[in-house]
Amino acid sequence: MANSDKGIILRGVSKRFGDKAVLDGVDLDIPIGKSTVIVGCSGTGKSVLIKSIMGIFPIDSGQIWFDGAEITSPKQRRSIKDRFKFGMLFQGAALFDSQTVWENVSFGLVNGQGMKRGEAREAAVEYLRQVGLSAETADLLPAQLSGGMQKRVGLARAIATRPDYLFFDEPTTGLDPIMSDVINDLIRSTVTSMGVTAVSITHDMASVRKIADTVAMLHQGKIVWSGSVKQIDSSTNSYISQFVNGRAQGPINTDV
Amino acid sequence: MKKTEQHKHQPATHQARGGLSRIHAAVAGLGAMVLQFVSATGQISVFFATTLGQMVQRPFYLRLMLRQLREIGYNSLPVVGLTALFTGMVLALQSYTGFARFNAESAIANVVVLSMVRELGPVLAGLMVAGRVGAAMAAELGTMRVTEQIDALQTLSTNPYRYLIVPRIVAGVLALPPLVLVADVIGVMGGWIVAVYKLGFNSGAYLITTVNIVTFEDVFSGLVKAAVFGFIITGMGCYHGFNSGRGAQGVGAATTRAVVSASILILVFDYVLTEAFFAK
Ligand SMILES: Nc1ncnc2c1ncn2[C@@H]1O[C@H](COP(=O)(O)OP(=O)(O)O)[C@@H](O)[C@H]1O
Ligand SMILES: [Mg+2]
Repeated sequence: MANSDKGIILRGVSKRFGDKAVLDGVDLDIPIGKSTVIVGCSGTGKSVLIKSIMGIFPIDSGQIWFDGAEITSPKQRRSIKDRFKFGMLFQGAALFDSQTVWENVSFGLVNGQGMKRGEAREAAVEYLRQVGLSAETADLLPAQLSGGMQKRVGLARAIATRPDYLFFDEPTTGLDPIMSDVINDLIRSTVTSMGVTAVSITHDMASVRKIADTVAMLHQGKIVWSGSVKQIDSSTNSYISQFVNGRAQGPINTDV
Repeated sequence: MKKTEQHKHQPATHQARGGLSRIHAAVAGLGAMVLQFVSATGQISVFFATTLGQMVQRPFYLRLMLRQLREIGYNSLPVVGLTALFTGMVLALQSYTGFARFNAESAIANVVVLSMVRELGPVLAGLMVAGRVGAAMAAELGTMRVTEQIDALQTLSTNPYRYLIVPRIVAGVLALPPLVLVADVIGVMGGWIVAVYKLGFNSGAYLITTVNIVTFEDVFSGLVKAAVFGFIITGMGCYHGFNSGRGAQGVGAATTRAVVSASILILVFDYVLTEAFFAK
């Protein structure tokens, strides 16, 4: 298999809810072993895009490939499901609120991979340590944690199954700048140390500069710009420059 | 915007057309309702077909099922017990005033046990559990949907139908018959209390009449109803919660729908099952 086949490739991916076309022909290449960041305004369909890649939503049309294997339909996806593993950190962490922190972290190990509970607790404590949480947090409930700690637990849960691909949906939204920086550092170090391919969503430019290798911008259901993170400041593309500089004037219409 | 306002201000000059367009609107509305009903029925069928398909696949989450069993069955005992107690009591009182005074003893025992076991035990327990458990289930699953916990399950290689829906529905079907059996006994005791302590009847004679009159089929039909109602309550709670709309409002609406649809279905199926059992 040629090396250019590696990674995730999207061609003409479309998805509508009712009569609203959220994704309208998305073309996107996500290179393997890199950190790709998708930017765009709120409500443009960034979450829908990564959930479509992960197979949480079926798409209406277009194609998706993983390392050269097509996984557009649920059936194709099932046939390769053991070859690729995903992890995702959700926007609100999406921790199971009736379960303790360690049960959350080891959920995929116990329910997905059949690990025994005693063993799983030890594994969970180790992953908690990796995201900077002490063993004492293991027996707390998610509701007893701050937002930043919930994000860390969400990250520990996402990496516990040792995924090849990690998805982050607005990992720093709702956190203070210092905690944001901590989470960005964690993402960066996780990606490098585990050698995973990361796909993140954010509209926080500090995050983009910190975690991105490549950047793609989603606007009105299409990718309107993509390139290396080094190019975002010098780009003459009017969409990305309006976004990077946070200007009200430009091609992105802000009055709704 | 302007156009519709103009339209509003001149209905008198367009009465004939207005009447026609009203018929149009009515037909279109009816059509939309039929379409909506068909699509909802289709969606519900797909939901239950998927659940059934997942029911026969491993792993079966026994721990989760047992937890639901405790929640639906054991924790409903106080509410269902109280309902049954007062229902049995009021049945005895009402039938005393309604019946001829001679032979009232056996008539009252008769009315209390047969109404309880065949009808009121399962229906009242079903309605109380629908309010208690169906609502909570829809709210819990709806919140899980809205906060992306159901999506998270999928990313952790866990089928949400198998993990969330199957244990609840199985527990519902298993929990309701014993719950109704308890309600039957408490209801009969309620009738007995009123008959003996208020109406001054002979305690032993009342109980002997009760035991003699009730047949296996009476009790069995009530328990079958209970199992069906258990399926309806948990099924509606899960379906509406799982497909909850977005935001707090979506969860609220899902909760209401779960209780209303379960209550109506309980009454409909009560009639259907009664006809199946007793109309020969
Ligand atoms: N499950 C859904 N049902 C209906 N509409 C949805 C659903 N998920 C997302 N949408 C719609 O898709 C659009 C994009 O949503 P989203 O991907 O969450 O945006 P964002 O870019 O902020 O992550 C929104 O207008 C939203 O209303
Ligand atoms: Mg989003």
